[in-house]
Parts: sequence; structure tokens; C-alpha cells
Amino acid sequence: MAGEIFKNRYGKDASSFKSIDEINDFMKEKTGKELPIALRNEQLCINRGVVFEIKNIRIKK
Amino acid sequence: MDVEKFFVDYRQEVLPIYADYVALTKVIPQQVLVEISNAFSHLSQYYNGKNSSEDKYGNLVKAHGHLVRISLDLHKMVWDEEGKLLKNWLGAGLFSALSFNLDSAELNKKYSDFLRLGAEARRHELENVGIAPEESIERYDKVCAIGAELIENIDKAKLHRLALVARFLTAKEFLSGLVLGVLSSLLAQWLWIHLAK
Repeated sequence: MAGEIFKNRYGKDASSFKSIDEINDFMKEKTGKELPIALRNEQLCINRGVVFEIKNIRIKK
Repeated sequence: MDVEKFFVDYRQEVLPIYADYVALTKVIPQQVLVEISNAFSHLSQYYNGKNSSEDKYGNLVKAHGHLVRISLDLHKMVWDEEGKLLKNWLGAGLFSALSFNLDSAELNKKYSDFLRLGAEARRHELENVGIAPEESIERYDKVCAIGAELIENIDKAKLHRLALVARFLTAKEFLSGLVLGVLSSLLAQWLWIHLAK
């Protein structure tokens, strides 16, 4: 179940936060430094395809 | 689809997996920031009074689509990070597999489940692009839970103790070799002196 790693390490339920900014602030407090922003696991996410519904559109009409 | 569902999913589906990711990597993933920005841009159009109700609803559906994408990406990224961590840990040395607080049969079963279910989830995702992303998320969620269980059962103190024992055994071997070497050279010298006469 998502959130288990965070809960085991920091003893806090992740769904009790209001936003990702709050999580970032919490992590900053715990680690003592600002979390860096980085492009990670790009092989998995670049070819991620479409999550929206696919629609059939007749271009000639 | 209503705006309430958007925020419920944001809190219940995105935040927990995002928290897991930052707990594992201590990094804010750039892809997530881009998708969050896209989702909230569409959501802002939902509240734009100039738009027709059809446009508003369309933007809400698109905003939710971006939210689903964030959740899917984060699940994949957590799965990937867990996989790398476990692979490094299990391949780190002779004693690394012993440092898990699980018996060996359970560790092997869970790790092979992690690999097998992960591959199945990835295949399902690629075969169902644009059709059922929620189902792919569920599959990845199960895989991530197994990975999380394995990672949380790594006992670093146990590994440290095992490393100390290994160092002690190596030192003991070296010293016994050294003592035997000195003794055999003394014996050879004694034999040479006495037998040569």
C-alpha cells in the first residue's frame, strides 16, 4: 500500500498532508536541507503513452 | 467526475506514493512538478467563469487525467527505485542476503514475486495504454508494497555485525598463516642445521 515506506521511516501518515509542498517542507525539516529537483527514472516516464481516453476523430469530416 | 473526486484522489492516490518516492530518493521528481502544473492549469479553467459548462467539465476531466498520470508515473518510479535498491543490496556481498529480517525462503519468494509482478504490471500498462491506467496503478501498487516490505526488513545493524565477524575471520586466517609460516621456516632451519651435520 502506498505511503508505507514514508510511514515506517517518519511515523507519519502521508495522506494527512494537504499538498506535495507540505511533504517537501516536512522532508526539509527531517533531512535538514532543501530537496533537489531532478529528472529521474526518465526511461520509464518518457515513453509513458496516453492516460486520457482515446477518441476516434474523422479528420475528413 | 466532480471536483471533489479530483481533490480526494489528489490526497489519497497521489500524496502517499509521492511521500514514498521522496522518502526513498530524497529528490523531488521533475516530471511530477510538470504534471502537477498541467493538472492545476486545467483545474483553473474549471473555475473560469468565462468558460461554458461543457468546457469546464472537459477541463476537469483533463485535470483528473493528469492526476492519474502523476500517480502512474510515481508508482513506476517507486517500483524502479525499490528494484535498484534491492538489486544493489542483494548483490552487495556475501552477507547482504543474510541481513534481511526474513528467512531465506521467504526472502527469495518475495523478491521473485516483486520481479514477476513488476514485469506483469509493466506489460499490462504497455498493452493497455489509454484504456485502463487505474488498473495498471493497482498492479504497480501491489508490487511497490512487496518492495516496501523487503526494504523495511533490511537490518543494517545485522549487516554491520556480520561484516565485523567476516573481518575477524579474515584477520584470524592471516595470523594463523603467518604463525605457521614462521614456525615452518624455523623448523626448516633447525632441520638444515642438524641434518646437514
